[in-house]
Amino acid sequence: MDLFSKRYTILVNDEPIELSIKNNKIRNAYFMDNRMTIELSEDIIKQIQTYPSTVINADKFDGNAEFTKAISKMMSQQLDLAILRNDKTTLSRFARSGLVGDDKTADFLQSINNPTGARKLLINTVDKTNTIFKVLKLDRFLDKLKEKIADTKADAFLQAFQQDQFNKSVGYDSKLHLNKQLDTELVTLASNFLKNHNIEVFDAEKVEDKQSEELFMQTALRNGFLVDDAKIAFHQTLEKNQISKYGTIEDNLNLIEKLKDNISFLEKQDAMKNKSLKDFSTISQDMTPVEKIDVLVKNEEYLNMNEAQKLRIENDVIYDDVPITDEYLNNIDTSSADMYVGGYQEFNYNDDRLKQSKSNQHQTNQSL
Amino acid sequence: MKEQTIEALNKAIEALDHNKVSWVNKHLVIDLHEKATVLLKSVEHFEDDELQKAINASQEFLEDTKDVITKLNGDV
Repeated sequence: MDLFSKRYTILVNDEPIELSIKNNKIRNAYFMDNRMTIELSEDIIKQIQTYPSTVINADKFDGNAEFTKAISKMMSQQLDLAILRNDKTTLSRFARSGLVGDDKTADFLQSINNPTGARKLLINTVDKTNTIFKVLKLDRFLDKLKEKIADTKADAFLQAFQQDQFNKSVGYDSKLHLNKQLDTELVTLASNFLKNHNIEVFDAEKVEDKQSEELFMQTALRNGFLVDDAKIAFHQTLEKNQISKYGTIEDNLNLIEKLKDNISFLEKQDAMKNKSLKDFSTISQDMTPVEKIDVLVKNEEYLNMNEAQKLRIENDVIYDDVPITDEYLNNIDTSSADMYVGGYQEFNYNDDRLKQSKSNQHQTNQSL
Repeated sequence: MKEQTIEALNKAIEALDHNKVSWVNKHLVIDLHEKATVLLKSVEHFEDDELQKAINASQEFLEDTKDVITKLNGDV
């Protein structure tokens, strides 16, 4: 694992492309001082990393169509962007670079946009031929082709072509696709595939799961289904399996609510016996103080208490709304009686002092 | 018809050489080259209905790329 990105320079017609690579992935790519996106395979990235120098001439990759395609596409995007933005600095740099070698006229922009020029002609032709392949339903066509040829070189090329199609396919969205009607044969195929491969969950980060997804898409294509439908069928069946096993999240939340209601109902039912003070607490939650007194005076635990404890309970629970917790009940058992007895003693003491005071007053009166 | 199409596609593949164009256009030529290769393989290996579909698609492809191939053969 790399701690830092390493910088490499690829020279194309003396124009540098700056790449910073970390963990065999391109982190940043700069061309003509603009940040760009370049997609290169791991194989090419490794070749760049193992090259003895960090400055590499693009000639080294002569004959590598994948490299040439990626770099050319990036440059083409840069050029289109510069034309759209009328970025004269970049356009003049392109004009001087020799990267746009053909169709040279006095006006660079005019030559680029010339309808009979090589660039416009190529763009239009690529568009037209895309339509031919769309009509052919390329996914099925390629797969049939793959089965028929034993040419490993062409097979690898077709594999890459097909992979490209997979990557372009629609992303699964539960809200949009869970209830989408699909061919029953495709759904059965997905169901059997998941069962046979023992797949219950899908993690997009896991290589194995991605491989399983691709394997199913290949199987579906071989059976004449489209890439998008195959992907949806895979994830839709997986999600439906999960729902039938565990229910939807909404179902589960509703179930939890119901269970809570049931528990609360059972607790209340049990509390109706009004034996303990906790029972009283449960029953009397929504009662007025007057109603609470009616229930409290029938409570077994309350009836078995001494007068001091009763008094404290009445004050606390009926008038001050003190919640009846275990801690509170323990306090009642141990301290309240003493406290109230203490209270009487205090009162008695005061009473004695009062008597003493009265007696003193009487004596004083007598002496007077 | 099959042989003629194969021959025409082979010529097209040879002409669709990205070395003949500048860097900003190379990916477009490579795209056409890949398509021609797929069509050639299809015509070579398919039979019956599928072969006919492949031949029709190839004819259409050759028609669409005619101007490009002429330009590339002129080493633009």
